[in-house]
Amino acid sequence: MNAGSLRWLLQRISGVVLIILLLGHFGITHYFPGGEVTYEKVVLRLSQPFWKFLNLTFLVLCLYHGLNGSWSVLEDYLEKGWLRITLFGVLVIGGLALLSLGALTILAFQPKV
Amino acid sequence: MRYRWQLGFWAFLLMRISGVALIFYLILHIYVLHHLLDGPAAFNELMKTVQSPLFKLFEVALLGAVLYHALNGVRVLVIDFGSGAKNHQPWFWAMVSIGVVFLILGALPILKIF
Repeated sequence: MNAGSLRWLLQRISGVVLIILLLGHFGITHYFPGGEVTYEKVVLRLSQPFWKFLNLTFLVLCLYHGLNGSWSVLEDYLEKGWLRITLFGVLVIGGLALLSLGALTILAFQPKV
Repeated sequence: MRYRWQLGFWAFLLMRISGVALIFYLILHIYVLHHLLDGPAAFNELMKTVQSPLFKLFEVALLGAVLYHALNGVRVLVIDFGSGAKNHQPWFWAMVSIGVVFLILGALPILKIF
């Protein structure tokens, strides 16, 4: 399998997993039980290892799927050259920055004893 | 790239547009949530702003983009791995119908209609 087919396949696999995670995420954050999002509710979840793990998985898959998709779009419009290389760099660095910021938030909270 | 203005192309174009919109939302989402690190008072103040009526409308638009992207994604899977290539057009309308139903059901609690 070449790199292109692997990207194509991973985009589909991550997409399917994201649908499942997103259903849970939307449901728990907005519908069951619903109500306003507050610091207390979010931190209560984020301080538990299960939610940390789930949210980190979610973060990594979202960023992979989004950046891989963005590159597929950009690739179609960019000729080979410096702009293409620059924008690829922007996606990679931007992705790493968002991953760090997201992971920092997810891992910051410890359970209250 | 040559564009051919038919249904399959519209499905593809909307997939790209909703995808680009969602990546911008993802950036915003990660940025907004990192304000959790500023503590309860600052975060809850920020939540008041992003849960004001104007933002509720954005949230419904977001739900629409997510639903289209996810359901058309399922259609893409059916085309790529199943027998969807022959009848990709009925699949498009089926997914749009399911999407509209979910959009209405999802929008009601967001807009506090029930």
